[in-house]
Amino acid sequence: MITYADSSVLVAWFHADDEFARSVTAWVQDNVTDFIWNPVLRLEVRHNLRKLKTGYARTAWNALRAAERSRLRFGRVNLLTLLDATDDLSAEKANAIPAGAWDFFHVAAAIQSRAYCFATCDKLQADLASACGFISSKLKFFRSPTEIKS
Amino acid sequence: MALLNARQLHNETSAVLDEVAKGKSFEVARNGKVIAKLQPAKEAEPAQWDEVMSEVWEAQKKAKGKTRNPVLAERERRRR
Repeated sequence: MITYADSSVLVAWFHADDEFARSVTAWVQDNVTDFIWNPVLRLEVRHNLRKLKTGYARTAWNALRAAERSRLRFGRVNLLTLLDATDDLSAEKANAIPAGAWDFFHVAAAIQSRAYCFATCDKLQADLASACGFISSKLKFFRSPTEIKS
Repeated sequence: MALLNARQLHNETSAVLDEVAKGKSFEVARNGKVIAKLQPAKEAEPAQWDEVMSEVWEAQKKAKGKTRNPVLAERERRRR
Protein backbone atom coordinates (compact mmCIF):
# COMPACT_ATOMS: atom_id res chain seq x y z
CA MET A 1 0.00 0.00 0.00
CA ILE A 2 1.13 3.54 -0.66
CA THR A 3 2.14 5.03 2.65
CA TYR A 4 2.97 8.46 3.99
CA ALA A 5 5.84 7.72 6.33
CA ASP A 6 6.97 10.46 8.67
CA SER A 7 10.67 11.29 8.55
CA SER A 8 11.12 9.41 11.86
CA VAL A 9 10.13 6.23 10.00
CA LEU A 10 12.13 6.98 6.86
CA VAL A 11 15.31 7.66 8.83
CA ALA A 12 14.84 4.32 10.63
CA TRP A 13 14.23 2.65 7.26
CA PHE A 14 17.58 3.84 5.90
CA HIS A 15 19.71 3.80 9.07
CA ALA A 16 20.53 0.23 10.10
CA ASP A 17 21.43 1.16 13.69
CA ASP A 18 18.32 3.22 14.43
CA GLU A 19 16.33 2.11 17.47
CA PHE A 20 13.30 1.54 15.20
CA ALA A 21 15.20 0.05 12.24
CA ARG A 22 14.17 -3.57 12.72
CA SER A 23 10.50 -2.96 13.45
CA VAL A 24 10.19 -0.44 10.61
CA THR A 25 11.96 -2.72 8.13
CA ALA A 26 9.82 -5.73 8.99
CA TRP A 27 6.60 -3.76 8.70
CA VAL A 28 7.56 -1.96 5.48
CA GLN A 29 8.68 -5.17 3.79
CA ASP A 30 5.29 -6.73 4.54
CA ASN A 31 3.04 -3.77 3.87
CA VAL A 32 4.46 -0.92 1.82
CA THR A 33 4.78 -0.74 -1.94
CA ASP A 34 5.92 2.87 -2.06
CA PHE A 35 6.35 5.93 0.09
CA ILE A 36 4.92 9.34 -0.64
CA TRP A 37 7.73 11.87 -1.01
CA ASN A 38 7.76 15.65 -0.88
CA PRO A 39 10.37 18.42 -0.41
CA VAL A 40 9.86 18.65 3.36
CA LEU A 41 10.35 14.91 3.84
CA ARG A 42 13.43 15.12 1.65
CA LEU A 43 14.85 17.96 3.72
CA GLU A 44 14.17 16.27 7.07
CA VAL A 45 15.45 12.86 6.01
CA ARG A 46 18.58 14.22 4.35
CA HIS A 47 19.28 16.58 7.26
CA ASN A 48 18.98 13.84 9.87
CA LEU A 49 21.00 11.30 7.89
CA ARG A 50 23.78 13.87 7.37
CA LYS A 51 24.05 14.33 11.15
CA LEU A 52 24.52 10.61 11.88
CA LYS A 53 27.89 9.65 13.29
CA THR A 54 27.52 5.87 13.40
CA GLY A 55 29.42 3.41 11.21
CA TYR A 56 26.18 2.90 9.27
CA ALA A 57 25.73 6.53 8.24
CA ARG A 58 27.39 6.16 4.82
CA THR A 59 25.31 3.11 3.95
CA ALA A 60 22.17 4.98 4.95
CA TRP A 61 23.08 8.00 2.84
CA ASN A 62 23.94 5.89 -0.21
CA ALA A 63 20.65 4.02 0.06
CA LEU A 64 18.70 7.27 0.35
CA ARG A 65 20.39 8.69 -2.76
CA ALA A 66 19.75 5.48 -4.68
CA ALA A 67 16.10 5.59 -3.59
CA GLU A 68 15.82 9.23 -4.70
CA ARG A 69 16.96 8.14 -8.15
CA SER A 70 14.42 5.36 -8.34
CA ARG A 71 11.67 4.80 -5.76
CA LEU A 72 11.16 8.21 -4.16
CA ARG A 73 9.43 10.64 -6.51
CA PHE A 74 7.68 13.89 -5.70
CA GLY A 75 3.90 13.73 -6.04
CA ARG A 76 1.81 16.13 -8.08
CA VAL A 77 0.63 18.23 -5.15
CA ASN A 78 2.87 21.25 -4.90
CA LEU A 79 4.45 22.51 -1.70
CA LEU A 80 2.34 25.66 -1.45
CA THR A 81 -0.84 23.57 -1.59
CA LEU A 82 0.54 21.35 1.17
CA LEU A 83 1.37 24.37 3.31
CA ASP A 84 -2.12 25.83 2.80
CA ALA A 85 -3.64 22.49 3.81
CA THR A 86 -1.38 22.47 6.87
CA ASP A 87 -2.64 25.90 7.88
CA ASP A 88 -6.24 24.76 7.47
CA LEU A 89 -5.61 21.68 9.60
CA SER A 90 -3.86 23.78 12.21
CA ALA A 91 -6.82 26.17 12.35
CA GLU A 92 -9.07 23.19 12.97
CA LYS A 93 -7.06 21.19 15.50
CA ALA A 94 -4.14 23.17 16.94
CA ASN A 95 -5.98 23.85 20.19
CA ALA A 96 -6.96 20.23 20.68
CA ILE A 97 -3.71 18.43 19.90
CA PRO A 98 -0.34 19.75 21.14
CA ALA A 99 1.64 18.64 18.09
CA GLY A 100 4.09 20.96 16.33
CA ALA A 101 3.64 22.80 13.04
CA TRP A 102 5.64 20.21 11.09
CA ASP A 103 3.59 17.39 12.56
CA PHE A 104 0.54 19.16 11.16
CA PHE A 105 2.37 19.48 7.85
CA HIS A 106 3.00 15.73 7.57
CA VAL A 107 -0.56 14.76 8.43
CA ALA A 108 -2.02 17.39 6.08
CA ALA A 109 0.37 16.28 3.33
CA ALA A 110 -0.68 12.66 3.84
CA ILE A 111 -4.32 13.65 3.41
CA GLN A 112 -3.61 15.84 0.36
CA SER A 113 -1.47 13.11 -1.21
CA ARG A 114 -4.26 10.57 -0.68
CA ALA A 115 -2.05 8.22 1.28
CA TYR A 116 -3.74 4.98 2.25
CA CYS A 117 -1.72 4.68 5.43
CA PHE A 118 0.19 7.00 7.77
CA ALA A 119 3.24 5.66 9.58
CA THR A 120 5.16 7.38 12.36
CA CYS A 121 7.34 6.73 15.41
CA ASP A 122 6.02 9.92 17.02
CA LYS A 123 3.17 9.54 19.52
CA LEU A 124 1.87 13.11 19.24
CA GLN A 125 1.87 12.88 15.48
CA ALA A 126 0.08 9.52 15.63
CA ASP A 127 -2.59 11.12 17.85
CA LEU A 128 -3.04 13.89 15.29
CA ALA A 129 -3.19 11.43 12.38
CA SER A 130 -5.76 9.39 14.28
CA ALA A 131 -7.87 12.51 14.90
CA CYS A 132 -7.73 13.15 11.14
CA GLY A 133 -9.13 9.77 10.16
CA PHE A 134 -6.06 7.55 9.95
CA ILE A 135 -7.31 4.79 12.21
CA SER A 136 -6.74 1.04 12.70
CA SER A 137 -5.15 -0.41 9.55
CA LYS A 138 -4.56 3.08 8.13
CA LEU A 139 -2.29 4.14 10.96
CA LYS A 140 0.97 2.49 11.97
CA PHE A 141 2.55 3.79 15.15
CA PHE A 142 5.94 2.33 16.02
CA ARG A 143 6.51 2.28 19.77
CA SER A 144 10.06 2.71 20.98
CA PRO A 145 11.74 -0.65 21.79
CA THR A 146 12.72 0.73 25.20
CA GLU A 147 9.12 1.73 25.87
CA ILE A 148 7.91 -1.74 24.89
CA LYS A 149 10.38 -3.40 27.32
CA SER A 150 9.38 -1.23 30.29
CA MET B 1 24.94 4.40 -26.14
CA ALA B 2 24.55 5.62 -29.72
CA LEU B 3 24.37 9.32 -30.48
CA LEU B 4 21.66 10.88 -32.65
CA ASN B 5 21.13 14.48 -33.56
CA ALA B 6 17.68 16.05 -33.40
CA ARG B 7 17.31 16.14 -37.18
CA GLN B 8 18.10 12.41 -37.46
CA LEU B 9 15.52 11.68 -34.79
CA HIS B 10 12.94 13.77 -36.64
CA ASN B 11 13.64 12.14 -40.00
CA GLU B 12 14.00 8.56 -38.75
CA THR B 13 11.65 8.39 -35.76
CA SER B 14 10.09 5.09 -36.70
CA ALA B 15 13.41 3.36 -37.39
CA VAL B 16 14.92 4.72 -34.19
CA LEU B 17 11.96 3.51 -32.12
CA ASP B 18 12.30 0.08 -33.74
CA GLU B 19 15.91 0.00 -32.52
CA VAL B 20 14.83 1.08 -29.04
CA ALA B 21 12.21 -1.66 -29.00
CA LYS B 22 15.02 -4.13 -29.70
CA GLY B 23 16.90 -2.87 -26.65
CA LYS B 24 19.17 -0.16 -28.03
CA SER B 25 19.56 3.19 -26.25
CA PHE B 26 20.32 6.58 -27.79
CA GLU B 27 21.52 9.96 -26.66
CA VAL B 28 19.90 12.83 -28.56
CA ALA B 29 21.94 15.95 -29.25
CA ARG B 30 20.90 19.40 -30.43
CA ASN B 31 23.56 21.84 -31.59
CA GLY B 32 26.18 19.35 -30.50
CA LYS B 33 24.94 19.08 -26.91
CA VAL B 34 23.26 15.95 -25.53
CA ILE B 35 19.83 16.96 -24.22
CA ALA B 36 17.90 13.70 -23.96
CA LYS B 37 18.13 9.94 -23.72
CA LEU B 38 15.95 7.36 -25.40
CA GLN B 39 15.95 3.97 -23.79
CA PRO B 40 13.72 0.89 -23.63
CA ALA B 41 10.85 1.35 -21.19
CA LYS B 42 11.89 -1.72 -19.21
CA GLU B 43 15.28 -0.16 -18.46
CA ALA B 44 13.56 2.97 -17.21
CA GLU B 45 11.54 1.09 -14.58
CA PRO B 46 12.62 2.03 -11.07
CA ALA B 47 14.84 -0.29 -9.11
CA GLN B 48 13.02 -2.50 -6.63
CA TRP B 49 13.36 -1.75 -2.92
CA ASP B 50 15.43 -4.88 -2.35
CA GLU B 51 18.04 -3.61 -4.82
CA VAL B 52 18.11 -0.17 -3.18
CA MET B 53 18.12 -1.48 0.39
CA SER B 54 20.27 -4.61 0.18
CA GLU B 55 23.31 -3.04 1.91
CA VAL B 56 21.17 -1.49 4.65
CA TRP B 57 19.49 -4.81 5.37
CA GLU B 58 22.85 -6.56 5.41
CA ALA B 59 24.17 -3.92 7.83
CA GLN B 60 21.09 -4.33 10.00
CA LYS B 61 22.13 -7.94 10.75
CA LYS B 62 25.23 -6.61 12.51
CA ALA B 63 23.83 -3.39 13.95
CA LYS B 64 22.56 -3.31 17.51
CA GLY B 65 19.79 -0.84 16.86
CA LYS B 66 20.86 1.35 19.73
CA THR B 67 20.99 4.78 18.09
CA ARG B 68 18.29 7.18 19.24
CA ASN B 69 16.07 8.22 16.35
CA PRO B 70 17.37 11.73 15.54
CA VAL B 71 14.01 13.01 14.29
CA LEU B 72 12.29 12.17 17.57
CA ALA B 73 15.23 13.50 19.59
CA GLU B 74 15.06 16.85 17.81
CA ARG B 75 11.29 17.08 18.21
CA GLU B 76 11.52 16.30 21.90
CA ARG B 77 14.03 19.12 22.34
CA ARG B 78 11.74 21.54 20.50
CA ARG B 79 8.66 20.53 22.49
CA ARG B 80 10.26 21.04 25.90
